[in-house]
Amino acid sequence: MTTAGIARRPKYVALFSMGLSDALAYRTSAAISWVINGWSVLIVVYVWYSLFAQDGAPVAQFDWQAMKTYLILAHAVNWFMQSDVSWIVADAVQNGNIVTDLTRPADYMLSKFSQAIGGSLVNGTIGTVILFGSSIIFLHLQAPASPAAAGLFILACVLGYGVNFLISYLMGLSTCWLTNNQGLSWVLWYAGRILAGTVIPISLFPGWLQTVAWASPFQATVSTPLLIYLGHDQQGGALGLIGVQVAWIIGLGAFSRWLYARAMRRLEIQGG
Amino acid sequence: MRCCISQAQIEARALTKTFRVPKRGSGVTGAIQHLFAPVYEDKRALDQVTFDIASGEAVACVGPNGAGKSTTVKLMVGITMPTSGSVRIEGLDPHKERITNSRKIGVVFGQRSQLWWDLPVAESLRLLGDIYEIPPDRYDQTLKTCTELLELGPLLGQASRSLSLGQRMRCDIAASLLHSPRILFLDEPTIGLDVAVKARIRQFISAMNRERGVTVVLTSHDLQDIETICQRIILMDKGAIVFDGSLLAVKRQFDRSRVVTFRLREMVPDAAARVQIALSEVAPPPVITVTGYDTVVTFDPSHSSSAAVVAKVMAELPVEDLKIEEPGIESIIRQLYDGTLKLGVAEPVT
Ligand SMILES: Nc1ncnc2c1ncn2[C@@H]1O[C@H](COP(=O)(O)OP(=O)(O)OP(=O)(O)O)[C@@H](O)[C@H]1O
Ligand SMILES: [Mg+2]
Repeated sequence: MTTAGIARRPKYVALFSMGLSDALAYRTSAAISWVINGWSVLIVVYVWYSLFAQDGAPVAQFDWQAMKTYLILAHAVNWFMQSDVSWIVADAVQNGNIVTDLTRPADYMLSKFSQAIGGSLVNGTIGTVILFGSSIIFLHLQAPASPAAAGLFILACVLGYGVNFLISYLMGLSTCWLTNNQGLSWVLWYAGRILAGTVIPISLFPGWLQTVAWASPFQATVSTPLLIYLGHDQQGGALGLIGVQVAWIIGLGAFSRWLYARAMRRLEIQGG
Repeated sequence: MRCCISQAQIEARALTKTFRVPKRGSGVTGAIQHLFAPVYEDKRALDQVTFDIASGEAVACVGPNGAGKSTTVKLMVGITMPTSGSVRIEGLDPHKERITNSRKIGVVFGQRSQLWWDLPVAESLRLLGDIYEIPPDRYDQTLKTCTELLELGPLLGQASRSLSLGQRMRCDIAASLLHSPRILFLDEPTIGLDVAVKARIRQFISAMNRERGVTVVLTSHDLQDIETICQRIILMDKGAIVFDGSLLAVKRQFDRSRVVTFRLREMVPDAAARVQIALSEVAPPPVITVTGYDTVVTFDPSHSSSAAVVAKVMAELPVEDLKIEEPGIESIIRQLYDGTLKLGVAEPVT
């Protein structure tokens, strides 16, 4: 068996396609997660539907149509972003297998990012597109506020993916200080989902929690693209919200670099 | 100006590594106590270790469990930082210049695999080719050599998770050499393998060292690995180097005996006495033992040559077969492991 005739790929492209085929190796579990995600959307939508059915009055700026659109899209966007990079990094640090990554001529964060995109494409994106597409057709979702909003929504999703990746990556790196961060991971994951506006829109939070949410990076993941889609971007406009996302990416990216350097100095590979 | 010509390829200077380990009481109380008032103690894994390794050498790092061999390898590879002291690979700090360094070195940790668990081996290797940006023709050539010498052919299509330990190790060694590294670090590359696979791997590594000039740094508890592959040995104990020199020198310094076993055609009742007379000029006097058809002569090869001893015995007795045994580093290292070898080196602090 030879590989003659196979051209070299740029290394991060190669890592991306590795993430892709790795995820495909577990396509059964991907399919199961599609089913679970699909059901959980339906349940949430149904619960809200019964709440609205009681008096039919809009809640804050959301009428039933807008709320339904928000909930389904929030799930779709959240699903699109989900990645297991936090777990992958934590595990590699804990069992020492990070050595194999570190003996290769590739940037650690970019490697994980390339792999994560490959994985997300299988686990999240395909399901997202199915969910999004079928909901628009069968559940009569509200259309984007304007054609510009549609374009900016997609841009905001991509940037949100970056913010979400950086948060997960940082959580993974934190294992170098907290030898067992399982608990912390779960707490952050749940808190993050709420603060991101995945469960209910941030504008329905009590005042103090809204302040917390707006100050956190989580809102830049799910809430931002949705506000743009629905045209609920009064404070600062869509471009302002996207500017905030870019700022978070720069800030968290710089922090990741710094934390990575500190983590590598502490790294004590167990075993061997 | 080239700065590095006079330099050793690997330089370790006063390398010291201290681990901070939690000191925790047992049971729930211990765990709770640790949560609120953690107590740590320092554990010194390496203490002032200094050595140079020149390009093209094959060096074995040997010592009992916990001696600090793996820690030394991890420091040379750059995946951990020394507490004090320094290590340089071709003049560079392997930790600070991780990416530059990674192109020069190949690494095999016998206990871990660098192949992707779910991918076919060929896919993993191709991916490494991409990551290291190996030109396709050189990649094909190296892969071909490795495939032949390590008999990888039937393995390339299998997922790494479906390989046996020995098959996986052969693939892992190929993976570490694809980018033609100048230095190869191997931490227990033959652990748990059968005799045939061990022999194949040894031959391969040795060929890489002798024919391609790849520097080899190896840790192993298998003395056969060391004798086949390495010319130099660094003996470590409790985080310090207790001996560093050529394998031949170890043998000379620590074991001054040679054992020749003569198998006789027929029983000779007074064999011992006759050999004693035949070898009366050999000093110091050899030790002679007779068991059945075998007469065993143990003597000091630095004073009389084996040839002379064998010639004299053969003139005296009806010898059918004979076996000359080299002094085994095995016995020396066993003495070191047991702690019975006194080398006149100060006991390292633990
Ligand atoms: N991550 C770590 N945390 C705490 N102590 C460690 C760590 N790694 C190694 N040590 C300690 O450092 C010492 C040297 O360990 P090392 O793994 O280098 O030994 P070794 O010579 O490779 O032994 P072996 O032959 O068993 O592989 C041991 O006492 C070990 O307990
Ligand atoms: Mg070891």
